Amino acid sequence: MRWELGPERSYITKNHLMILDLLATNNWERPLYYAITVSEDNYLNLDSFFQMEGLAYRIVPFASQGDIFGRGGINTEAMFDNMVNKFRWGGVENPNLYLDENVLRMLGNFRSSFARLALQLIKENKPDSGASGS
Amino acid sequence: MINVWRLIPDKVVPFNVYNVLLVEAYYQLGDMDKANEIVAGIKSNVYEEMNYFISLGRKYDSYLMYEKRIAFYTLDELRRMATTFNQTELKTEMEQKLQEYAGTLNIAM
Repeated sequence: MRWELGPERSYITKNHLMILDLLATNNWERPLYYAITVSEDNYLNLDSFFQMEGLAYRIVPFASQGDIFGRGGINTEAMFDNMVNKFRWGGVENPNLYLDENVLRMLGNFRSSFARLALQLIKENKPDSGASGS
Repeated sequence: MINVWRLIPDKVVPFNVYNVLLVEAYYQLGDMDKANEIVAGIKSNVYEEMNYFISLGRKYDSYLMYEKRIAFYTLDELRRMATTFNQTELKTEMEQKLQEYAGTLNIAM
């Protein structure tokens, strides 16, 4: 895996050093993820090595350009399983449940993630998975 | 796929700019009814927002420019999609609204 930090980055901070250290020493023994809510400033130009698996990007040792946002690719199989089968949504559809602004923002993210997954499934010619029920 | 409608309905989290992709997915799948239902939600929320901005006059322009641009961009994305997926009525409505808001909100088109 080879990549450059990019010409626009003239410094790195301790949190970035930690990421570089993990990449240098982990040897792919444990998966490394960025949450989808982490700001782009912290990507360290690694985004082409991202594989979206739900609400996180897994760093993988190969680059791809499959995602509509230009952030690596989407592992549709893993993401579908996470979003559809594994995640529990806690009754957020209940209008009587109070949701503060942070939760509302996160839910907006989740809905957007479903759309990204659906579009990728359509692109992979798996429209039955991309279609939602009525 | 899980039913995003029931999972996170518009009345809980209002449809906004981030849901334009959802519209695109439904258009691509040929499910125009679902797509247009989300479009209706997005439009209604954006119009309400825009009307509120307009009601404030120019006084808060500098504070609200970002929000205005997001709202404007949302409608422009709907226009783009309506063009791509041959939704003539929606395209005309968006063009008219964009024209109207551009003048009122002092946004360059």
